[in-house]
Amino acid sequence: MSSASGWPDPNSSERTPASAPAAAPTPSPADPQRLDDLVQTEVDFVWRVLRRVGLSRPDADDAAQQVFLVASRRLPELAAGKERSFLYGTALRIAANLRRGLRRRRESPEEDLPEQREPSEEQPDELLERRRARAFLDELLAQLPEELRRVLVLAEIEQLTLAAIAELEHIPPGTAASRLRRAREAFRRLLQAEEHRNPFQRGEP
Amino acid sequence: MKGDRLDALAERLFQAARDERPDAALQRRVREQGAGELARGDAPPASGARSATRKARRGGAAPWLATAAVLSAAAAAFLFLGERTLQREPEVHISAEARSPAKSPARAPEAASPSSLPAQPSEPRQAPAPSVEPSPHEALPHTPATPAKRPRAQSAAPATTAPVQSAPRMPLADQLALLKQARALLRSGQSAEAIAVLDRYGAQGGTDLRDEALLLRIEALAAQGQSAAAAELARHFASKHPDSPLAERARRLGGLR
Repeated sequence: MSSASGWPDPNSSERTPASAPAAAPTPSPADPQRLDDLVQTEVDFVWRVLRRVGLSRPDADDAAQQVFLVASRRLPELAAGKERSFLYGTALRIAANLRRGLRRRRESPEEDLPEQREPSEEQPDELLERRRARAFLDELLAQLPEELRRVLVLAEIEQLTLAAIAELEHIPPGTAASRLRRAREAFRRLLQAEEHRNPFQRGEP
Repeated sequence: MKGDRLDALAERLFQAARDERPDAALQRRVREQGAGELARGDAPPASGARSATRKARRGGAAPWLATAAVLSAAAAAFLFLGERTLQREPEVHISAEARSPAKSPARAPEAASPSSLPAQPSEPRQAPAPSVEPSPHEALPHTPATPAKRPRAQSAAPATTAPVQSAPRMPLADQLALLKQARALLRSGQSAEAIAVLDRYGAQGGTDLRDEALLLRIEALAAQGQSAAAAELARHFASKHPDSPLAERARRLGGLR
């Protein structure tokens, strides 16, 4: 089971790696170019992670800004090669806090404003179909246990390797493989039960 | 086969998620925010807030000051010592004020001159982290456990200036919401309303995004035709942060380029 925040619970029955590496990697300086490169390479990944844990587009924008603000402050201490892991963990924690705050205020989810949608050459009905598909996907993902949902998102949407997933989730590769297998099975069962709500109305996939 | 059909449906759903991208403006905002942070090199309050707490409790200060000082100290402790310092996990809080017009808090009288600039609160240098590789469990943005009680408003300050910042530090989520509101007002041609929101940002203790707030103010002043005020703010920003990538944008918005 994961902790209330969604981050892997170190007390989980599943094996977790040692809490600290044998040799700490060398930190890199607070180089503006380094931060710029980090933003360029990781902002889409961070934003999509925030979206798939249930944040609306506006909330994902805000949360992404918070994530990179934290990163910019921690940049001098952040070891090269560990940036994505840090960003991922920070994003999950910020999203968890934000969702708790939203639930407490009982706000209704913000609708995507037309001006916030990414400009596209797609026809409006194609855009609407994709939007419905993502909404349907999010409904299915929300029914998965959080640790299974995370690995499924990392594997199927971000298309990361098991090794990369294991690093982000701070679990052994074997645990990552096991979770992914269970996540796929659970997702398939959910999809089978909800297949009649197929958002792709025009023809079968 | 049904299994193939389900697999194909799942793949289409995942592909729709892969294709989703944030608005291009987000990357620009994140870059500018980060660049401003690095150029400024400031650190959020730590010991200053704690000493304010002790003074407030000793000296019979107004109750709101004690509350604000306690919340500032708690938030600073959370930010720099990790969440284990606090018994309850702070929550991200987007206050009602941030999403709708609110009473601006009590402020010291503001100079009416367009050349008055937002006062920048002093912030102690950030303490070095104990470990090289920061844990994802620490260092979340400032989020007090309970909403800070804000002092009641005086009459609105002149639209061209920002009030002196003496309010407790605003949660980052609220700061983002206010700047988003200001940006939207500016884009819709309501520059005076945008400046009023930016005044509120400064008055309510907005500090983390003050560079972006200042750039928005410069743009709003220019949109109002107050080119002299916009240029002066832009010149001031560029002189304070000559190496910042934002300085060039400030000069451009202020009509200096």
